Amino acid sequence: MTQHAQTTVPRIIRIALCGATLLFAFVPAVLDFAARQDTPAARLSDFAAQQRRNSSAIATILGEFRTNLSDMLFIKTERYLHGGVAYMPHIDADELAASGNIAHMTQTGEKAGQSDETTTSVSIAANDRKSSATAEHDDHHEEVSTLIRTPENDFRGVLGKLEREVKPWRDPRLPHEHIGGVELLPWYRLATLADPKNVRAYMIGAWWLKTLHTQQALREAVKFIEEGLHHNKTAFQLELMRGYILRELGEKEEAAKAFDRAVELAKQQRPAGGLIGRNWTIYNEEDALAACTMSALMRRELAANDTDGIKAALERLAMVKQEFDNMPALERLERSLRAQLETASQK
Amino acid sequence: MTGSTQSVTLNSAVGLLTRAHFLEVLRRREFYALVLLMGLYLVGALVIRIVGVEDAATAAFVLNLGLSLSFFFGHLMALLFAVRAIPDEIESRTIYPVLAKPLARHYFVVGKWFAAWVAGVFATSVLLLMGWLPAPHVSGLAAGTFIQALVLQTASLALLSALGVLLSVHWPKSVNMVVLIVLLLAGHRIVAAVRGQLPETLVGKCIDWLIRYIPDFGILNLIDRYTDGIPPLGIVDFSLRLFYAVAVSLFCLFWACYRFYRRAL
Amino acid sequence: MRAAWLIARSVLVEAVRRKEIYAIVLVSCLVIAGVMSIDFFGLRGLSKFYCEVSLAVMSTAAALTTIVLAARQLPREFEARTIYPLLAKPVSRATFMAGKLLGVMLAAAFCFALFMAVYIGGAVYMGSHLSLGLLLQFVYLQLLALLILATLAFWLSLWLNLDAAITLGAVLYFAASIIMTSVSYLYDYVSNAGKVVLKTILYVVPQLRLLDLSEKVVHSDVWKPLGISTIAALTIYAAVYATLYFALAYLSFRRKPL
Repeated sequence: MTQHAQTTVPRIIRIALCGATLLFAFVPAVLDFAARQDTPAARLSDFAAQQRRNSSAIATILGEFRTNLSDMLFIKTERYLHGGVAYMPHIDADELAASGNIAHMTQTGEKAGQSDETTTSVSIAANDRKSSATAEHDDHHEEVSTLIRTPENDFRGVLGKLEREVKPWRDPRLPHEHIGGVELLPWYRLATLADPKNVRAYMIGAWWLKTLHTQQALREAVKFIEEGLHHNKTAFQLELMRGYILRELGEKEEAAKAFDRAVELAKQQRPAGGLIGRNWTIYNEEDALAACTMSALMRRELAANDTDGIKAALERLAMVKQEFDNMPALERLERSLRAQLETASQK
Repeated sequence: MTGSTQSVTLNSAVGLLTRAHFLEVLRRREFYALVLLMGLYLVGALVIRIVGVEDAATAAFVLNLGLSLSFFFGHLMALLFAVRAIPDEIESRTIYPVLAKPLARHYFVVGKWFAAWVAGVFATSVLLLMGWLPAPHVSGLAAGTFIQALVLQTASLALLSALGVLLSVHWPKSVNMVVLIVLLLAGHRIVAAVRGQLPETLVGKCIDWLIRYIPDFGILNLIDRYTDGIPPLGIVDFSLRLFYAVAVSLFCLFWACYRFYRRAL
Repeated sequence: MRAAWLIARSVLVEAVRRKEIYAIVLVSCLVIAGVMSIDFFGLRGLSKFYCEVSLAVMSTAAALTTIVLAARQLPREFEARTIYPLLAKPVSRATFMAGKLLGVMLAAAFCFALFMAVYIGGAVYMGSHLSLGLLLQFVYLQLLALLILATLAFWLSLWLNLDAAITLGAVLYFAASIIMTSVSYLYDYVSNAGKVVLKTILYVVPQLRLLDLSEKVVHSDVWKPLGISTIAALTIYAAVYATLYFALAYLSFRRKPL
């Protein structure tokens, strides 16, 4: 068989290659434009839907296999917090993103043992002060079934017994502990690297860093949140989280500014009357409320004395109330501050 | 190449190569292996129908899984053919009688690319039926988005085939395959991750610009968008994405032709 | 016995000489190194991520290597016609197959040993909590899983063509966990006849999920090594399937016209 040496490139191919190269040169600009036009994927941002689909039958059967990193992270969070034990998905990831509180959903998707009253600004502010130790050993006693069957309910005999031995399994009737949340940090880092629009991953990642309570971790948390803000300029939740972390770092003035910015951004996105819908969820409303509350309360912390502080907080609250209609929790906070002001004046 | 090569027209050369290649698709066992893998999803989806679909989010999840798998396997098919097309011909020395005929080398390359693309489109079409039909009904989905997703995935297959053919002229098969699978599955994320880490300096911006030349299959994938019920892309956005796929495909294809001429066989 | 050992040695030597194992180990290590090169907030001791990623990559790579290696042993002998001089010698077909299986398992063990050396080195560097007991049990159970996969690949390669045998072996490996979970989940929803079918699937298909201890290794700060009785039960479980597949492969091999 004859060997073919390299041959002269026909003129038509040279011209075609030049033309194609010219077109190819515009590729980065095209990508830039497409990135600007792209609608944020609702699949990632609709947390309730994510919770539902990851608790579904097919998700249970698929285990940790997912086509989407965000969904995979959801499963990882469940597993890591329970030392690898595969419970039916039940952790309220939105609550975790909003406040770091490891709240639980019942298997029908409702929040377990929580009334509307417990998700007010006061509880969010309280969560901020909650120690990580409490969060990491937050025993709870509602029974959540495991993916692996219990011995009484297992038709598989010896195979079932072996599975319970080989795989991490714990009797669902026993109270379960939350451990190892910090070990999730690399997964959140990876999730944000893969998808810088994943605001929730920035929130939860920063919260876990914050639970370490070291200067280095807090600085890293601020850096992480700022990276998130760089990619999600309108995500007021990130400004809110930044405020919490700066406050813990003792940088109260910067924290106050962050809370104020969160209020500004929330104001621009909140629909009239805080109407809950696809683009403004209950969690957005709760975060907006937290931002308003913290923005007011930081005035109190920055003041020289408590009376002046309460007055400054009330002043800020009055301003915020004008911009956020139909937010009853702000009324309650105002009443509480007025009562405290009265007590302080009497003293 | 002499003028006599022009006696074989591009149409007939590409047609013949594609036909031969297409018969190979049916003979090759990979296609049936992919159908077998897709069958696993089919069984799963049917089982889910027995159990019952709890809510719309779950139905969308099943549909997303089915579409993602069928498009991925279709791409895998195109990739396998594109990557092996030229090296296998050289290895088995069947390229010599083909090139001994009055056939320009670029006809050969274009024929191989087109055949790989057709193989991908064929596999995707069959697998899509398996992925779509058994999936539960999801209300509120935009048909326009689905059509756009189909068009862009077809363009994505063309891009992958062109890239596969181009890289097969330069790299060994296995390396080529690994690189393309990584690009296909994680390229979008890796590029996003690297871009996210670049500093806001002039050098950073230059690197950022250069990185965007790495083929990005992510922007041609509208499956999540469709199963999320998001309306279709605007006409400009859609056209630009299509332009992107065409521009990169043409560049890869003509570059492959150029390199194939410069290569001693 | 000596004949089987010689055949096994030739399989091992060839696998090592072809450098495929080194390439697989190197690529897997590069993947792991790539992921670990990301700066995770400058924090040390976040080892669960490393353990999970490494064990997943290593187990998958080892399983695929074993499937490919085992599936091509017998068809290649027929293709290259090297089986004829071998069988002309006083070597029974059972000995020949046992030698091949031993060689494949030695190569798999060699591959896994390389992986474990890298894994332990990385874990020590990361300062992660290493439970030696759990890790040894993990390796042992993985080898049992690889034994099942190797014998299955032997049987499939004699029954189907090479590509199909590799694909089916890989499908079983990847779907192992899903099969067991599906059976367990669906049981309550199906009729009595369906329950019988599900139980049959449970016992006919080897449940490789039972031989994967990686989750406990990842969360080894919480879990203790398995008891001797569990390990013994798992060994018997794996031995039953390996013997069954080996016997089926032997029957196919015996019937195969030379």
